[in-house]
Amino acid sequence: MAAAEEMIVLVSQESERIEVSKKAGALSALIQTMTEDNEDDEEVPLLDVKAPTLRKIVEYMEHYKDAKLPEIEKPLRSSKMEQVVPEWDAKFVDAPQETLFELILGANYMDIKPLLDLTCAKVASMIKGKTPEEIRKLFNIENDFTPEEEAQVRDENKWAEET
Amino acid sequence: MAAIVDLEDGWSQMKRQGIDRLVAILEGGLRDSGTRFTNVEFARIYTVCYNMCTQRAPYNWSEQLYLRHNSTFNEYLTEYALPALTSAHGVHILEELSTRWGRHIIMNKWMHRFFMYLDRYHVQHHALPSLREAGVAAFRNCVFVHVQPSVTSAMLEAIDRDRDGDTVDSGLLKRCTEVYVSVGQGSLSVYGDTLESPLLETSRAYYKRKSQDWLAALSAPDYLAKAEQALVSEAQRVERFLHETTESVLLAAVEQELLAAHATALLEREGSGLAEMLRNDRGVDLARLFRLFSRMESGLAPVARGFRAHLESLGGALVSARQTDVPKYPGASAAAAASAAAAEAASAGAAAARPKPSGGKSSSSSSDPAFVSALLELHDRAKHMVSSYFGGSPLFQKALRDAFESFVNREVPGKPSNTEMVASFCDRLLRGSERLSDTEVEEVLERLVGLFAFIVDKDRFAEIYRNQLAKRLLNGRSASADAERSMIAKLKLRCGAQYTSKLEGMLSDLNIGHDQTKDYKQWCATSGKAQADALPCEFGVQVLTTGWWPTFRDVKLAVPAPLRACQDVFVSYYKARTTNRRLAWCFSLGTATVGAKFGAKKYDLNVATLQAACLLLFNDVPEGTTLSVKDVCDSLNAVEEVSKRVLHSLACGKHKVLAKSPPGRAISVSDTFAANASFSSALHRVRLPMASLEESHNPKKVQDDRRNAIDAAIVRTMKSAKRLSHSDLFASVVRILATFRPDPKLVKRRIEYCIENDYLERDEADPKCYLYVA
Repeated sequence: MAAAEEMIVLVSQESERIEVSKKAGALSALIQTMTEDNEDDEEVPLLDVKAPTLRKIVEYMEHYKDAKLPEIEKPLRSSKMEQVVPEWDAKFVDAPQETLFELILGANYMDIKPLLDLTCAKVASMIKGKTPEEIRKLFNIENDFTPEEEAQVRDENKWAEET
Repeated sequence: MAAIVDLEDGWSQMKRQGIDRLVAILEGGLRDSGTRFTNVEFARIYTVCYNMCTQRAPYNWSEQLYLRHNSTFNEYLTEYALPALTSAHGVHILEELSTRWGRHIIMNKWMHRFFMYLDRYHVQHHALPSLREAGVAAFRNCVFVHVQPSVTSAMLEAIDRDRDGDTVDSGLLKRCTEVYVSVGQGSLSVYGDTLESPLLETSRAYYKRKSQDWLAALSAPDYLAKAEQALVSEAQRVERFLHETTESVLLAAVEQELLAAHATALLEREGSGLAEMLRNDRGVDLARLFRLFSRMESGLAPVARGFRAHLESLGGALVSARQTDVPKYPGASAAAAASAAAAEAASAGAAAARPKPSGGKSSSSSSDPAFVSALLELHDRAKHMVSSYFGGSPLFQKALRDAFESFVNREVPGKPSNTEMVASFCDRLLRGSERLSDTEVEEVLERLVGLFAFIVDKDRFAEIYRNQLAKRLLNGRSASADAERSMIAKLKLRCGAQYTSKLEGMLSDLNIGHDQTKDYKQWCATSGKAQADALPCEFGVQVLTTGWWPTFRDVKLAVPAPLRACQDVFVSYYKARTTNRRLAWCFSLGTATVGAKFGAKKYDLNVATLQAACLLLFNDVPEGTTLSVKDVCDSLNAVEEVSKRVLHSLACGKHKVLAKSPPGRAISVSDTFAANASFSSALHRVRLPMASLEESHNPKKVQDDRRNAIDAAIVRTMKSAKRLSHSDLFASVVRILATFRPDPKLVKRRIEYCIENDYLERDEADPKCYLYVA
């Protein structure tokens, strides 16, 4: 990182200060909005993002501040992320579920579309090829459908299972 | 996960922290130091909105927030902006609108930021107008539609004041224009319907008034200058404070009122209209007239017509001046021509047709240089006008061409044709009579070819030119071989190789002749030495190729013995060099130098071949006896008319080497002739000119050639078409014939000739059609 690079200070939910280069920060539409006519080098408070998540997001933004952002092909070609996105991206989202969901929320709050796409793709890849029961188990979801409701939903969405 | 945010709780936070402060800032005149929100303040509002919109149903408040975003605008605008605007009048309403729009932009920006998250999903999923669009729509519906009529009339008033030279605030007008454009949200319909259309109305009215004032007070050129100024300032006005798309429609409206509505009146204005501008060579005014009228659809047509009429009147006057010339008093006629032309010149401007005094030479002669010079100058002048005033426009080039074609081809009864005049001018030039440098000759030739282009009877021109070229070449009167070649090249460029093939043949004959003369001399010094040495005089021959040259008069002549001997020597040389070629002798051409002795004094007489033959007869006449006309005819074996003309040149000219009895100016059959013993001259070399036996050209030959060309065109057309109606056939014939315009009657006669000779037949089914007979 060049010494002269212009930096901005992000402030997490816990008031922890994390620096990011202005260029990397621009990947977030929220940061962009708060810095576009900022004359006093104000800090950028991100009230909904926790420090560990913010650090992770900053890592992502710095990585992609100069590189071309890859477009993710949809529908996903595979449930293996390495086959869908660059290796770095795959590694980046190879994280515990908890972290992954925090990243999704952070990306949404900060309005970072490529990161939102990446993290959502990761979740999609986890679902791909699994039965509803497996998915419930994976995400620890309680089945709140009555058997009748479930039958109806299955019937309505038959087309999705035909492939 | 944080606790669920209740709608009214969240909203009151947003309203208190964001909206109320925003309104306070705007209405506080933006003087407040806190004219903007800090990031912390902003982040708080954004986060509230974000949280309210990301809560799961039934606690998702996106829809409610979107509606409240819009009603916030409606309330603010209705409460603050609209009353401010409705209470302002005149120019103040413009100022107020500018202020209010400026505030709206700031408000819209911050409202967008506060509610930013809505734009991402809610707006997209429900295909709603974006936050910013909703903000602009609110301004349009709550404010703009109510005040627009007053604003528009204030704008139009200000624009008319600007036209009258008052100072207006361009920046303010421009900002107001932007409101019209912006509330259209990407479409110009609001601007077009509520500002541009009324503006066009008032502009038309304004310039309708102005045009009446100007017409009453100004001359046509001054009016046009004003009109051009107005158009320029209207274009600037658009740039200063209107939308760029208005320029073309506004200028069109102004043009309509200032120019199109008065085009005819301006062009025909007494004392300053088009005719007057042309006569006075008002270059700047004419160029402006052209610029302005070229903006209108077919605006230039009447200008081009006027230009053509102007040229036709000048050119027609030149041609008519030839008719009124009285050849009996050459001096007076030249003066009359000069003054008539000078009057024209004066009215056509300084550089226009300026005739050269023709030096007392009668203008009815076929070589009137003043007439052709005047045509050339008129042509130069006209070309200059087309290129510098009329932008080289094809329309004006055509007007020039049409004008010149009309008067250049107008014949003057009883006078040589204009075609002949132009050809003769070429002849003078190429004979060096104008005493010009090579480059000047070249330049005049170039201009002459320009004039030549207008001649319809190009075939007649070619025939005259060929005869004159023949005379120049054979009599050694051509001033420059380069100039001859250059002129032929120019004609070739215009009319094609076929047109000049004979002319080029003539030049090449001379070149070959030059080599042949050398070769003949060489022969005389070697193989033919015995024969050549026996000859009584020097002798040279110019061999011409039949067909290239004009048909010379076939004069029968019993060649006197000394010349006969020379002829024989050349014939034997020529036979030794060539095979299968026939030599025909042309006695009407050629020159001789005859040694003569009158008393003690010796003279060299420069004479034509026929004169030489005649003079030789008198060698054998004993002193004291005479020869009659009949004697001469018999001895020369010539017809009486030729003999008379030869005798006239020897006995009645300036130098009378023969004495005629009785003396007199004319030759009669009963006259007798003897050598004039009392002849004397101060000069040793005496030239005895003789009237030419040849016509300047043979009109009959032109007619014959035309007949042949028409026949060929008819047969060529029919051979490929097989069946054609009379009018189609005629059209095709005219198209094929490039060097003249055939007379329809003549074409009809030739078609009949073709039918008689079984090239064509009439179609029995349709008598108007012809069939080709194979």
